[in-house]
Amino acid sequence: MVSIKELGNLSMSSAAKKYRCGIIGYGYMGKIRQAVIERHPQLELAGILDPEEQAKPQSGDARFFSSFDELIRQVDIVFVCTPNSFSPDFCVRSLNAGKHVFCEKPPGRNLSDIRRIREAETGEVKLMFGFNHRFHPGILKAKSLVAGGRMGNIITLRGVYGKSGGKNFQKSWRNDKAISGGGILLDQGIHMLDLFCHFCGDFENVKCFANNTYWKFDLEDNAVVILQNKATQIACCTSSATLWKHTFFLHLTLEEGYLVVEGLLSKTGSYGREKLIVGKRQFEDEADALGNPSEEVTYFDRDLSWDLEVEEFVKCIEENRKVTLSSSADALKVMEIIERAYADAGLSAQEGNYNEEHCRIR
Amino acid sequence: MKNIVVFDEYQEGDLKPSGLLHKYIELTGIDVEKYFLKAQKLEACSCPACFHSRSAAAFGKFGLGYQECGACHTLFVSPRPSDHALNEFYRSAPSRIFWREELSRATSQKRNEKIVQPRFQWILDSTREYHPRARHLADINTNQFAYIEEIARVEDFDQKTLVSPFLGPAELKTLRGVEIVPGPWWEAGLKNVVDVVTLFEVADHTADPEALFKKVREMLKPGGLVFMTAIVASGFDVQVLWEKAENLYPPDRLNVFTVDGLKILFERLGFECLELSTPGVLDVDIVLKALKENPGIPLPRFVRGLLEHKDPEIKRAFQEFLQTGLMSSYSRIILRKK
Repeated sequence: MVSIKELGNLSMSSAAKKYRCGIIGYGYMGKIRQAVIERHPQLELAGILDPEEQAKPQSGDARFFSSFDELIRQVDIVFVCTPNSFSPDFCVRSLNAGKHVFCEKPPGRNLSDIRRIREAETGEVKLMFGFNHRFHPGILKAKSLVAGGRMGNIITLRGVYGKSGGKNFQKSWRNDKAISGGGILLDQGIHMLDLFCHFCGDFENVKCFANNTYWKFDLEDNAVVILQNKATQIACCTSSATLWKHTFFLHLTLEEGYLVVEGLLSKTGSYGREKLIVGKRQFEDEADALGNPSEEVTYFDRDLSWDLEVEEFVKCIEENRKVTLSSSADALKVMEIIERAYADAGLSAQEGNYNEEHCRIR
Repeated sequence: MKNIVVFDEYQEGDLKPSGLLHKYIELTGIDVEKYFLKAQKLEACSCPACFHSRSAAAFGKFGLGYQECGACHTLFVSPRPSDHALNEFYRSAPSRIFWREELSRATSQKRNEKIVQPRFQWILDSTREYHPRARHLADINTNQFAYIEEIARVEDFDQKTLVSPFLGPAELKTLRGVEIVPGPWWEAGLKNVVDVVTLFEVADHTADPEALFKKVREMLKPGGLVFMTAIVASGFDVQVLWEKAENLYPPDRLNVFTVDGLKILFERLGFECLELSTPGVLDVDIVLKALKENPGIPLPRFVRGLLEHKDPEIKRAFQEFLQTGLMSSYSRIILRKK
């Protein structure tokens, strides 16, 4: 994987091949991708495709294409930044045209969407998904500590990821099941589930409870997913659109201590200052169980996640190596968990039916 | 750039028992006179951090004067002895022999548990994170046996080098698998071969920090890392106690950089700062100890009340606040050669 150091040295490789990029979908994520492309010495923005006429590039001299066919002729890499229901088609068409594809999460609305995308994936082109949380500094450091082995094996994971909705939350396409395919779990909880897989691999057993008590969309606004794998590692994810305070929290218990990633560097800073707490197990006399081991807290102040993941993608293309981080296999794995979670909670991502009776019983 | 906060419980007395510390400081005062004042080898200098030429006299210790930089507020001794004179001092002064033979050994167990082990874990973890292919570690001027043992023990590096004129036959005997460069750092012939350099409070007592960091740059391969620790003047106990700060004396604290001064120094010398933290846990303890020994130290009533608060949690929270705001007096830093 690309290191932060290598990102710092990007300018050194500026003489290397340049890749022309097209962005499909010029909403929040499309603008983020535009900025990343403009910062990267090997990428240049060829143009943007967006059905909204008023959506114009805010900087640079990028073209604004009127059709997919026009865009695809001009680019080496396609960034698919569209709502979930459109992503699979654009991915498949771009892959079939022999273009490398970077697609935002989630990889479609359901399992069949990601399977369809994977069918179009060949060894000739690279496909990566935007699970950028893997590249957040707190997660990178935690992953490095786990890989170092001094803290032993992971025993449990506990994650909370939630937001409060907002003024326009009810109007968002994310809450239109026909477009999104799922609620908060598919939209935001997918990052936490992906991180669980990033740290522990597969999870075979999936349980889930969900409700739509507050927002009352035909999508869940709360889901609690419990996972277990063959190594008996247990994980619990709370994904919520009713936390009222933007929250990100990932707790890993290991044999020799614990790691906590809390807060998340973001544009608005609303998830709090990103920090990693490292605590070491201290067995104490049970009669005097203070339960207060020494801790070290790392505060981070730079989020390079968007740049790091794209740099990793570019390196895979440049070196013609297999995508191993945020790959289509990773996307499939996490979508399988979500599909099984929805099924267990009595929700169905595929048919778009919200089984209230089932939920109440559970 | 990262900032680290550490929660751990120990007191200054665990690492520097009062009786031994007082004797060491007393011996240092005698040695300063003998090695520096009588020898008259002192040279005036500008701020060692930002090179600003204007400074104001702050206070004197052992006949040497501390200046406060007018720009970055680094405290520094000027005029000061040369690095050659300092080298001779650290090699042979009775105070230093007392430090190595008695003070350091008397506290070695606690020092190892609270300082050395966490410090090496920091180095190993951060090297894995920032420079996983690092193979060659070099330390400059380590003079504590516990560090030397730990450097010899760590297996994460294929090649380990100690650049130090202070190692005696006893230390050399135990150092299997460690290459010794037995002279001062400015004579070390290592060029573009080292991945990681450690500098534990070395910049504090170097006459020419710029030359030191230039040498470190020369030793490092591109992208190489520096792990360093230093006492900082912008820290709480230094700011509160100022000339009465017991730990502030020459030549051990020839340069007492501020956080701002360090940032300027690193930028000027071509290093990227990956971490700058002040994870000290002793600021409150040091001030309380000074107050106990000298109740006349002037402190605002609120600050005194805060420090003497009956609830220990208040003091702990205040120490945490100091760390979070980079206002403790002990700093640890990771740099990368640009």
